Amino acid sequence: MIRTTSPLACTSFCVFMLAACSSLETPPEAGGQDTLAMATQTLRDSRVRANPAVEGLMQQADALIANDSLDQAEEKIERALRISPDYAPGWSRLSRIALSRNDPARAIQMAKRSNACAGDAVELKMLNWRFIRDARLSLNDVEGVEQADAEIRRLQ
Amino acid sequence: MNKNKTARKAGKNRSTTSRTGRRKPRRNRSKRVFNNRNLAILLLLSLVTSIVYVSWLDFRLLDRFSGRIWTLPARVYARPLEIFEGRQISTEQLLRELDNLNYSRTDQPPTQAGSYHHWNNHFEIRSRDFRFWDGDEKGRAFRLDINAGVVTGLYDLYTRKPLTLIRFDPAYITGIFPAHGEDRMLLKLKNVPQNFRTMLVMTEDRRFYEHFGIDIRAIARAMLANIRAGAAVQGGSTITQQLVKNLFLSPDRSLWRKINEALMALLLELQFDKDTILETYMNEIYLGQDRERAIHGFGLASDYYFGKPLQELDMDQMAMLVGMVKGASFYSPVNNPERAKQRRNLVLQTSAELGLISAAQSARLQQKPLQVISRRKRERYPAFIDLVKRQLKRDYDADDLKSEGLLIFTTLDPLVQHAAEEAVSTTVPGLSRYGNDLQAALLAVAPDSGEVLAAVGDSTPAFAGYDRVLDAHRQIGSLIKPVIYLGALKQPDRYTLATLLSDTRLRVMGADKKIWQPENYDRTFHGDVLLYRALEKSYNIPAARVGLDIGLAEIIATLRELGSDTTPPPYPSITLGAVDMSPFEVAGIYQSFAANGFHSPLRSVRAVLDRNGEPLRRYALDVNRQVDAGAIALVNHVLHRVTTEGTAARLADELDIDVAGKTGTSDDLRDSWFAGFSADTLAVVWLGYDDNRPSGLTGSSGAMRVWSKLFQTLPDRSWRQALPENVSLRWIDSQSGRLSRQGCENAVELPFIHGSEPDEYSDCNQTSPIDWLKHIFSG
Repeated sequence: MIRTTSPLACTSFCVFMLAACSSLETPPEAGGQDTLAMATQTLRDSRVRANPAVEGLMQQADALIANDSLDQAEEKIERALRISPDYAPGWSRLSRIALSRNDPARAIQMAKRSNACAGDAVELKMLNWRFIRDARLSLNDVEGVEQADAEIRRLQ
Repeated sequence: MNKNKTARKAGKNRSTTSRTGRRKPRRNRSKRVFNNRNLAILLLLSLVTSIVYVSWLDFRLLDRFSGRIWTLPARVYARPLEIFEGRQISTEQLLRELDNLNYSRTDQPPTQAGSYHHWNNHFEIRSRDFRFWDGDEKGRAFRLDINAGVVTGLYDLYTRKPLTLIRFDPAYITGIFPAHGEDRMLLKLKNVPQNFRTMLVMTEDRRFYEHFGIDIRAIARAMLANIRAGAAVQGGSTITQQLVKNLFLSPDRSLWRKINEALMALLLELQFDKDTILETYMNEIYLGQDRERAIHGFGLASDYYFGKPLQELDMDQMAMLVGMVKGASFYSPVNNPERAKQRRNLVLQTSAELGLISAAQSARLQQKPLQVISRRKRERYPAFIDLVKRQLKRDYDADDLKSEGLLIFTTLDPLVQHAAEEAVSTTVPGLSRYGNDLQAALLAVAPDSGEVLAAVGDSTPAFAGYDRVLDAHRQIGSLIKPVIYLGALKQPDRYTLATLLSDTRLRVMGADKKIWQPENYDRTFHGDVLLYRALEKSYNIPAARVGLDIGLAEIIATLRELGSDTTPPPYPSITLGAVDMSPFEVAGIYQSFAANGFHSPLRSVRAVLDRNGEPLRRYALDVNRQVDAGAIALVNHVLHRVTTEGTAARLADELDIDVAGKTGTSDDLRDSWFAGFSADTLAVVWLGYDDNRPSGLTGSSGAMRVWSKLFQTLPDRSWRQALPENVSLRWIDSQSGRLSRQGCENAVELPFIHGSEPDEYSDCNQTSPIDWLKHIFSG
């Protein structure tokens, strides 16, 4: 449940955010290969933890992804998501696989699904926005890329 | 002339002399030459004919054996149960699952795959090997503990090391076979237990490994026995002959057929080794009838009669199957159990005489009952199978499904299916008010994946007739209202949950120039009501006003965003659900609500493998969010309130978990609907009569009763509202729709999309400066 905030607290928060935003720099470089390369590490470091069964399946999936056995990796991830449907790193991996398969529309949806359950896992959200950015880039969606960049900046 | 006369005379003389015998040797010689020549020709012809005939027989043999000997029906499996620490499953549910998988219960730690030992809340299980889409799963011996419906311990039975995940083999549901046809599960000889192989050979053809297709001694022995008895009491056919007869010949007892049988048996033995012949025989043999389906081969017979693989059968069960070879109908354990038992005991006795088992063992086994599984277990899930067929229809010909031996891995959860069937069959009879033919349909879905967990298409769940889940297109009534309000709430500058709506008389002229005048179910007007209240209480007039305001195009667009491809008719009455949909279509729409706006197309198949277990096709998880996350969150908030304060408030008392849902009732109470979800399951229930006469049931007095019964048995977690970043909660005065404060009279907490909150305050919110300061510092 989200607690109601007082007007004073709200004002303070806004002032803080304005100050923070003013110090942000240009959007990070987010080429497709770079994004994929950093994905696994970020997912491993993700603050979102799951039960050992899910973690075990994710390890198997990562090994399969590294081996380019994407279909089987996807199956492992789906098994994990059946156990824990809100396991955000799982959805993020599906996005990564979709990008590897050059399926940007699916990559975007999976990344959005991951973000919807990522809670306060900021790194994971940033990774997902990078996936979305790369996918939109391949779709020549200039406006979408700009929006993704803005989200990445916001999360930084 | 004289010459002629002389010649005639000579001829006459030849004739005469012939009669007298003087010229006879000459004529005999000529005749013998003729006969010898004819005989030679005849012999040659016979030889050629025989060679051609034998070659033709040989060609038939090779042709059959070189390709696929049999067409195989598709085999359909349920989802595999996955066990891990923290999984919610009760002891009773695990026992049911093990029973469904036909695992044998033992008094000791299990030594054989497919068996378990259970005491209190502890299980020791040895699972089976199985090949899945993502690879082979080796069977394991493990122990698991269940406390209060949750797995609290999972570790290796011998090393005691903790295990993270166990995947059971999936339960076989059914085959997809032709209306009249053969069914079989192919066995590899290397997987057949040696005991079974020996028992079969000893019983059917003791000299199988010595003869060359026909057994002269056996034929002589049979002839002798038959002469003594004065009737055909014994056969001398070898296994090879029986196989030839079953594969190629008619069952008549003519000499010609016997000759063909012998010839082909010899040819078969020339062309193939004994193991190939025995393996083919084991897969071909007819072993019973299940209505129009013929049970062939020991693989399927083992599954059909005992519900487990041949490798897991006890000796007495093996003996029963071997005994049935002599006459599957005559020795049927289903129709003639006493005769089947006598025959089984004879096989056991023979096995003891030949040293395969001891006499004591034979005597003990002969005391055992037949243990054939009940017919109930074999009649499974017709509505779900319909879904499977429809999904596969896109990618496979109906003929391929019946002949290619495909292995189909579905999403069916037998535990949910069982609960769904129980809910329907125990609740519906008590709800019938106008005749006992009240019908039902129920569909249960995993919200986050769209996987169909269970389907019931008839008030008698096992009845495979009209499937109402897919084919009953009925008016959905108030189930449309969340769609209407979602369409409105997507416009936060115009509509919020605190928008005041007018519940007063409404008259509308439709495109057909007819006046449409909706009424509330309670036939009263409620004046101005807030939007959330109108949805919570399912008032008709406010919903109609909102629907008319946003327009048909917006309603259709919203339906599309939710994953529906239904196009409702262009009448104002669609705002109150005068639109026909099947429970399947409704579930598709509500899945999007249950998954917070992420639509996943409903699917009942996960993967398909070919007959050799090689992956063919996978149906991957898919999600697609079209609808605004904030607007969905607002509607879901109210759908939860429906189950605590609204038309389904009874659920709050009946269930231990929080849920969200909506009742639906069509005109004249013809259709009773309920669609609702927990964190783990979405279920849609429809009740009504097939001839569309009134049922006398509202959504809450009919379908919701079944829905509630289902969710009382599912081990589900509570539905929890996930508010997106652009939505937050505010206290609102439920009368005026203005901002209020917690603790104020009529204050209710509602979610708002940022920027759409009311900007006026109710009287209660006007507080003293001290209270204001207290409020700030209390956070």
